[in-house]
Amino acid sequence: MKDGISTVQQSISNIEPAFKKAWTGKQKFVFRCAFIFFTIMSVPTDYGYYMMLLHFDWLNLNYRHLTELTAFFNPQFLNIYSESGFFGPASYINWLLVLGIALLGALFWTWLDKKRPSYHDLYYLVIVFARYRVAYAGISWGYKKLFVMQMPEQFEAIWNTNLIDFLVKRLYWEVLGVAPVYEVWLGFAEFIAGFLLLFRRTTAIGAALAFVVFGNIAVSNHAYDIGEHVPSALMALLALFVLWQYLPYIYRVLIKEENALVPVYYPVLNKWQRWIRTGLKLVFNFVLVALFAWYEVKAVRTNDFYKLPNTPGLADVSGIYEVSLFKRNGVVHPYNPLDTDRWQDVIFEKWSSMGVRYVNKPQQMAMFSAGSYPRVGEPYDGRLHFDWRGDLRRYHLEADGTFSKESKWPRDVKIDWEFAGMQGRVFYYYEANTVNQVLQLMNKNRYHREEKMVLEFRRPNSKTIILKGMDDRKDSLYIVLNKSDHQHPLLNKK
Amino acid sequence: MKEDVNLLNYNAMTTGNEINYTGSGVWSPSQKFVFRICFVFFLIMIIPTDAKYYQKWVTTDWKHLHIRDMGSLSGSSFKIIEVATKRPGGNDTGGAPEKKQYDYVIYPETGEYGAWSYINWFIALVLGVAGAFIWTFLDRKSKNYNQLYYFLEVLVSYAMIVRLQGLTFSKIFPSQMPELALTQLNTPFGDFVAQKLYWIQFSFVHNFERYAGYAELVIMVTLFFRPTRAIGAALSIAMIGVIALANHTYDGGIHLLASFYIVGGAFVLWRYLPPIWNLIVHEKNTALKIVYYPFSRPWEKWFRIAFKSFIFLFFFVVSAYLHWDNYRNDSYKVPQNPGLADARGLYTVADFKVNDTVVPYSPVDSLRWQDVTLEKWSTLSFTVFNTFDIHGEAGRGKQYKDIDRTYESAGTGGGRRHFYYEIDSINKILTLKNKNKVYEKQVLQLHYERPNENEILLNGNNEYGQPISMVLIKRPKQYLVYQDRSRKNTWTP
Repeated sequence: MKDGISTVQQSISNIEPAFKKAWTGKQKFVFRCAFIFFTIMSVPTDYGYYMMLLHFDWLNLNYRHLTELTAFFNPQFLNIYSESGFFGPASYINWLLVLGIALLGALFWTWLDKKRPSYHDLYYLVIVFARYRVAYAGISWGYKKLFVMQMPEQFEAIWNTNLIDFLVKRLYWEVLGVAPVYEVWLGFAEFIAGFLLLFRRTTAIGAALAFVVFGNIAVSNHAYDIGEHVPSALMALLALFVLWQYLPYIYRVLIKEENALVPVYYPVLNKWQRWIRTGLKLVFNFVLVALFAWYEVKAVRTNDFYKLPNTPGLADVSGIYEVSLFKRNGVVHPYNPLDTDRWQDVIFEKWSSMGVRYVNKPQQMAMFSAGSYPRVGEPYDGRLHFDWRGDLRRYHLEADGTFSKESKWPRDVKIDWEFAGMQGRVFYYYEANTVNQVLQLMNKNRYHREEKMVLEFRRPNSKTIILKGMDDRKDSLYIVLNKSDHQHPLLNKK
Repeated sequence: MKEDVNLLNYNAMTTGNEINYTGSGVWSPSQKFVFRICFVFFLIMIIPTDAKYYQKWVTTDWKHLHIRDMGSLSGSSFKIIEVATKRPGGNDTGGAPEKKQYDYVIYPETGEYGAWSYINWFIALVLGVAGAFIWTFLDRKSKNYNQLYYFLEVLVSYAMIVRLQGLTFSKIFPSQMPELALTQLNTPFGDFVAQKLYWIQFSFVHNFERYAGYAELVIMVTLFFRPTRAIGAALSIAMIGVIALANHTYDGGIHLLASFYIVGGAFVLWRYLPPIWNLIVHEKNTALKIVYYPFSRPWEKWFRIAFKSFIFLFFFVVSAYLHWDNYRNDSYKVPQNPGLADARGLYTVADFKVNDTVVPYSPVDSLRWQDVTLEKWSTLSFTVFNTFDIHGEAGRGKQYKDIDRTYESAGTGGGRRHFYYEIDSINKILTLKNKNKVYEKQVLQLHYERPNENEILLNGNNEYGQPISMVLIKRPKQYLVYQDRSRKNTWTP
């Protein structure tokens, strides 16, 4: 009988001293590397991030700021302006850079610190960095979907655009947008992975979930050229790093079917260290989980979906209209799908946007997701560019380094979700003077905002709109629009 | 003393593997009862009850094995009651006709994708409970069902593998969601039903389809081997469970098949959950303590090896080969007969006449054709301003004839019409037949002339028998979906 007891004791005592044993030189070097690498990967290190913080309106904080605080930063000092640099392997160049820094740092550190037997406390600390980085990212991306913001409610422009006129990433977006229930579910998966990472006991489950969720997002980003593959892959990598210490033991139990115990080390903190820990946890969790959720709820309640305009449009006009009569400078243009002088159809959204389908009116393509395409005026030269501010696009910095003036435009002019990643129509933001029945229109595309029109409108009946006035070519127009009866099968829920 | 014995047993079981294969544990009555329910339920769900299934193994043309045969050989789902819809064309879901005979059909008001579609599962569960009662009554001696539990787990795992193989390999060799047709590209987003959009998201990026296929292959492989079974079960819940949910939210048609991976995966995973929880949440010393059947007798050993080899060879290797072959030579959802030579494209319709009267260009005319597309294969599509029944088929099933291969047309509305055509190149006549089964009687005959490579003259009759004629002019179109990534991002409408 005694034997039984001693075997059990042995197996336990085999595990205990793991913390006491000194690490080998190799282990210590690898750890030093990993510590530097994952710390740089988890903590905002690009100067542009802090420039963005300076430009925040801290007194009127909202969910956009919190999203930008947590969702979008990763070391991106090097940019290669080429196809591979945006979509392919070359976009991961910064990982190599950070790895190089980590190697150099580790060499230096090894030279400085020859006495320490092990780094259990620092190992715990770097896991905390990675854990919270992934946790808050998961929660903020989760909120975007949970509150149906990332793929918001669809509208006329989407329903009436042919598939070939979408970029694949916009199609991917809209396929998700078709089923908000599914989107909320995906958001919940991101949220819960992040949320579980906030707690010590559920760290492993959260990390495993986060790895699957973010890994999958990274793959779909690659497949659909979405452009956020580097940050998503980074989250998956960090989750894997957090999970790392559990993996050998999960392997032993599940696959080798032996018994195992995960030797998780918890540092012993003194009183003031515990106070700091509790304080930090309270502040960060309050702001980035609770307050964030409250801001999201507030945004939903005030109809502030960041991709959708919210200035109400003309009452009861939303729909697609056939152009039944079109006069330019008094000359009637009969219907012809190839006539460059004529408007092909017109869309009115629920909000103050009007979309016109022209023939041959070249426009700059509006993009979404920050990192995926060079902006107008940026080089596309295939060369390596270094910038210590990081990814300028993410931090609202212009190519010349100044802070973007885009934010000064009215909210609804800035929003380009009606045509981002799509082609086919030109969208105008309008201000309606309902007393004089005049629309002041402005092209919403940030590169074509000088295109303005002033149109008088009449509505002889609920199906007809008559527009009269001057377009951006300084021609006088007279247009009769008839609302289409076309029923979209997508909206025809049984 | 007692404690010591327990400790000893514990050690023996965790280190000595299968010494005690019948398991010394005593199950509680409720554990036994739940197990009996599961046993009967899963047996009903998995074992084909249809005699035709077993005949298939004999009647299959083994020399010309086709992926169609793989489908019928990989089992049949338990289905006493067919859940259908009264919407015209709604029940046309493809598939082999001999599978479509049911004794009972119901038409629930919530539609064929609602809770009612699980009626057969419910029946299986009721039978499971009834069976469990009888079993409890008959069997009062058994202390546990460790061995049966093991075999049931294997059976459920293998059922999941066998049912998944077709979907796996038709994704790895992208034919489940084939390349989009021109007609689909030139149809507005809102004119597809939600389910169709869910499917075609894979059609425009095949690498994602392949990725999904590889993920399913990982599930198959991990379920195949005992040590990785828990991982396979967890992945099948995570991935195919999400597909099940997506099928419900998009009104997709394979929710039952996908949901089986939630139930089956949960069943297989169940016994692993407490130890894993113990290990990673409580951070305690943990071992699995699973009782396996030892397969100690020689014939058992050989049978096991033979069975596993058969499953692997037939449902992994042969299936993969057949799907590859199909993808290369006759992608099963894409029509294969060539269309008019060099005519693929989008066409503007000019000079359209009905009864010799010109109908001027109008987007709101119910007779005048707009936006004609011709595919590489023999399909002609056009838009008129009218309302038609959408055929409910997702373009599923492995069809023989081109006219039945409707991935390009199913789930599309908005006045878009799709015709299969046969070419009489001597008399220059196209005979067009509507691909939508609701309108399958509509046949058009059009005489064609091609004065130059960008124009096609058509004259003949439309679907209502009226004489029509028109000129099709090829329209150059920039395909943003396939646009080169490095292009400058200006577009010209």
